[in-house]
Amino acid sequence: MTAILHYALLKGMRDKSTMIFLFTPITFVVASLLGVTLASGHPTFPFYYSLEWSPAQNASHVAFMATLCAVCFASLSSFWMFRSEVATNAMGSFILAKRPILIALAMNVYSSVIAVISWGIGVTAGIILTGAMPPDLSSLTVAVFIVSVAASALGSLTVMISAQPQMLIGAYCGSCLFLPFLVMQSNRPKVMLIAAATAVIGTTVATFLLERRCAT
Amino acid sequence: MTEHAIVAESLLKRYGRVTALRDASFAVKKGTITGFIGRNGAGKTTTLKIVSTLLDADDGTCHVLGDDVRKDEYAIRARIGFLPDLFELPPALTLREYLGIFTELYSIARGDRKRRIETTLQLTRTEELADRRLHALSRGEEQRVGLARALIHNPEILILDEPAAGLDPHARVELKELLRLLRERGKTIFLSSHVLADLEEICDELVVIKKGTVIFSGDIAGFRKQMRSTTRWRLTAVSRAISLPSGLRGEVVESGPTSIEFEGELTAAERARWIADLVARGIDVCEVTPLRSTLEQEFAKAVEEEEEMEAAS
Repeated sequence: MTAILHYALLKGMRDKSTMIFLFTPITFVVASLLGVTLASGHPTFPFYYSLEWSPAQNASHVAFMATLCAVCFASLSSFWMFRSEVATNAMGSFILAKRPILIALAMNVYSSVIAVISWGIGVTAGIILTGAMPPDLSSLTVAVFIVSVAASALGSLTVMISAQPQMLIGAYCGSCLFLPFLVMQSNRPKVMLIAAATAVIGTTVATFLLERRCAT
Repeated sequence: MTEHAIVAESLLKRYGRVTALRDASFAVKKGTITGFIGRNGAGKTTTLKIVSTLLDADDGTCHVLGDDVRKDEYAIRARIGFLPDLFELPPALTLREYLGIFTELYSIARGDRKRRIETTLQLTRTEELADRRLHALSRGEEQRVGLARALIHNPEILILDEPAAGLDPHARVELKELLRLLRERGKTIFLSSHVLADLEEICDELVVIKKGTVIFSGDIAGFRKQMRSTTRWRLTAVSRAISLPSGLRGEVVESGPTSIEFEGELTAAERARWIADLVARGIDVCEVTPLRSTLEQEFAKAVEEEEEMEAAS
């Protein structure tokens, strides 16, 4: 699996997609905090979404936004990373060398790791800019981890269904509809089980479709 | 079984209502270059994908190096190199990086990776491309890079789907040289191509497929024999008309003022007798040339005959 991760990293660094996926949450967080703070007419530090909220509440809101952004982009990065290989059947050379399940798993691991790191960057920026720690950080960390894996599985499943670039819109819309629910309900074990099941089913079906695609 | 690298028996593959392969049986001997010929849509790519374990046949069996493609697909995949007809290379990576990834994918020992990459670069004459990114490559360069990728794990069998497609004459010569070199090194090569003249030059064996059915599998001489092909001989004299001696098996197919084309199997002794006879009659023979029909002509004849048989039935 490390070989596929190595390939994804090399490719992602060269075409800059890894950077885009890594720094999108921080861009959202910083831009929105800065925008609201400046637009409110009281440009003071720490930054805020609402002057009526405590810094901890603002930080919590920032963390939530970073989470949504990171998990939604996890599905996009999973879709994007091997899109051209899937579209051109270049994946055939990969599955001759490694089992398809390992390839699907590597896609998920890569995107999940990117999502968790990007979330970490976004939340750190939020903590610095709001001057407070979000109170629910530990539970949010667990949620980000599980939901990112589910989001990555959905992204890889989408690309296996069709590698057309317009499917990216579908993957993003699907993520925006489904993933916030998982994040918001992440304190309920049943919801986290749904997320885990989504990851397992998504990866399994993606593996099956990967083999089918390479056969055509 | 052991002398064969690939043995396919009664392969059947359907895509919906279309039958791509029906009762396709053939064998590929170890250490040979075997050409796989057929018209577009005859089932070549489907067969190559079944042999490469990428596609399952609906019925029939296929063994590669003694392993069943259905049961031992992962064992087979480690021992074959497959170059599809269409493939894309990652434009952001250099060739060295690309091959490096595949040495990792094939779990080649860390200490051997660098040496393996250098050996493959040399073998495929891609050293000058090694540190170039894989974009804006010519078709010939792409094919060599594809071959390098297929060879990186030192497979026993190379399966190539139309490797000569789109190559210029120089690149085709290089490809043929490389394939000959690989055969010398003990590799078995099974390749499809529409460039039959090239196949004729390098292939030891031939598999001919028509509408999903293998109509011939064996050596090229056997294919000619099956097609009942005979060699034409052209005799050219310096200035005078040539006549045909009696007792030869065959017929005159073309006759010019100072030359004659005779179709039939002539032994060396018969040729010598004919020439001696002409010389005795004062005719100076300046050239005796065998005009063997090309593989392309034989293939066209095979397809034509099959079509005639189908029409008759």
